[in-house]
Amino acid sequence: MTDLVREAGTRGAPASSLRDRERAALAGSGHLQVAIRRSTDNMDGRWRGLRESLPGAEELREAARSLRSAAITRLPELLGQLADNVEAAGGRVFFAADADEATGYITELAQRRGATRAVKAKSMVTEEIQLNARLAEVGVTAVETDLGEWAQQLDGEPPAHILGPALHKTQADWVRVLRPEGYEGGEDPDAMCAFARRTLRPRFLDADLGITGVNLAVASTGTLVMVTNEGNGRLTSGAPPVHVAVMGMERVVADWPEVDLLLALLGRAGSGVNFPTYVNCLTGPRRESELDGPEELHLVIVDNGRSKILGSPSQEALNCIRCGACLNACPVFRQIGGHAYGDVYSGPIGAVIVPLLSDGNHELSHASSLCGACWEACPVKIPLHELLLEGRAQHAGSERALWRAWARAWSSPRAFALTGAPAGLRPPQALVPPPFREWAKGRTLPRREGSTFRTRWARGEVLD
Amino acid sequence: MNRKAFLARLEARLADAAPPATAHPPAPAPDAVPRVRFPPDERALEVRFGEALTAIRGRLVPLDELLSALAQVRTAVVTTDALALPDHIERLPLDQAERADAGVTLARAACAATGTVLLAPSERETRLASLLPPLHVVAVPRDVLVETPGDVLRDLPRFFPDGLPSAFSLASGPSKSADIDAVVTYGVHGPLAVLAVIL
Repeated sequence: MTDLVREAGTRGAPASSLRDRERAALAGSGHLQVAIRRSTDNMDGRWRGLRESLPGAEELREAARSLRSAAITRLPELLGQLADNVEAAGGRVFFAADADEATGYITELAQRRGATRAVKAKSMVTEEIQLNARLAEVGVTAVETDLGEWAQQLDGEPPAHILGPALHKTQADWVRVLRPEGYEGGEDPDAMCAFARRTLRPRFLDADLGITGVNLAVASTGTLVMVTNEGNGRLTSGAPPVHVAVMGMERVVADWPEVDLLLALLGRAGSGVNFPTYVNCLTGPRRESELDGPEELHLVIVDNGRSKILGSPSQEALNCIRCGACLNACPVFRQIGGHAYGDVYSGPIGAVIVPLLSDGNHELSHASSLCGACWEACPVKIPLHELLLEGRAQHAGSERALWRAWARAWSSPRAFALTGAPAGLRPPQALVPPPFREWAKGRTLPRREGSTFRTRWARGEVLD
Repeated sequence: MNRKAFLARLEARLADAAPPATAHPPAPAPDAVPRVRFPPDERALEVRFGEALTAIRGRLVPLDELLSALAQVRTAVVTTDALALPDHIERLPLDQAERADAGVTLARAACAATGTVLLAPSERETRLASLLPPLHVVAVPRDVLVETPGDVLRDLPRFFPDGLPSAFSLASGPSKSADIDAVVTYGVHGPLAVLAVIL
């Protein structure tokens, strides 16, 4: 993996341009594309199949869209209710305006507890706020426990996909990554899985802190719902003496029936299963009558730029349930992979929210062909293609000038006639003017059949 | 940032919201959240539960075959009296789940459509008994069988009449990952095998 691609995952405007990162991703042997396509084909295909077999799938998705939108417009009320109920159950709640506040709270907590060892269950938001680096500064080693995420951490790479962090890695890559940890077997997924179990199990049992994300937070009962297929969410939240749950502020839902609907869609769209393997529902820390569980539960609710999306024309992007279905369906993601996006959020949803969250990396809204496959795949039907277009409009710059010039030209009969002439010329690739050369690569320009409409009109052939 | 300032910022953004950048904004939310339906199936709940559990690599074992199914199990942590375990199995204290061959626990509910069981800690049951050992044996009383996970999630007071416990889990089959080269592997963190017995 080149350095250009490796640097991805850091926040703010990346040092390299999108074009450079795309070139880096496309420059390899083609293995990256083969690996991504196989994984995404598999996930996208399963979700398509389940969409067809689920009775009333379209109505369920429309309802989910409406319900998510309604919850977002009630955010202040629902977050207040959530915080009250988490506190009533014995948990503590911290509202963090940005990454610094969130990581500051967690590192202070770690220091107060004298923590040196943390385990984490996959959470995009903790990647977003760069929690592992902040914890390392105060002497806490954080181990990622999702199998794919662990491999990415060992390999010094950010996750490449929301649900398949290591989907670009071959079995040979896995052996290379696990070898220094003591793995002695070959390219055998079962043996590597067993090795991960043996190696990570003591980490859970010795950890001072367990840090997880939150898939959905239920305002009515103060319950944090966390979904994993591996069980690392249950272990991370259940084994260490302190559990820190970090959630983007938009994860909140009003009540349990929404959980039923959204989990059914999340499992199908994300993992291709009717229901996720483990759905873990946490209401406060361990009770006095219970035999195990954490002594303390802390919920960190993170804004970090999300309030800029709230009330903006792109507000619906906050409806996202982070299933990864739009990544799997996207022809651009399937070609360049997650790292080329240069942020923790990739694919169509990343191309929409990254420029909005960070007020940088605006060029990401161009990492799309606007084909709408993302919208079709989205279980909560976010019109991602329209939001991508909105993103482009916000930062159009020279492109806007170009389209304006084009609009002016085609509004004038004389100028329009002029643009018709070169279309018949079929210039060789070398003569295509630079702005269009990239586009023309690999394409054969069409040959014009006969004369133009205007010529035929002038000759009186049209109304014959 | 304190809670008040945080929420006030959101209030302000919402009060001054721009029109959405879509030609087709979402419809108003329905009064009732629609139920997730599964294809109709007339067979008995326990038959369907067994079939769904098998499909996700779990196993439903008839009570009279339990002895042979547990022949290899030497040690277990046990949180329920509902199952009579074979005599050869040594019962370990609950805090020794890490070195037990099996964890034997009780399901508070079980979903026929998905092979899901509802697990929750109590005065007798730990969070880790069903999670740490390589084998999870779960006793499912016939009267807790329901159709779908929605029947549990929408009716929690039925299963937790004294209020929600600090943790409950809906578990569907063994621990599973497809992170290594898209090959499905079992038991990366939780149980490698799940065995259910209907009582």
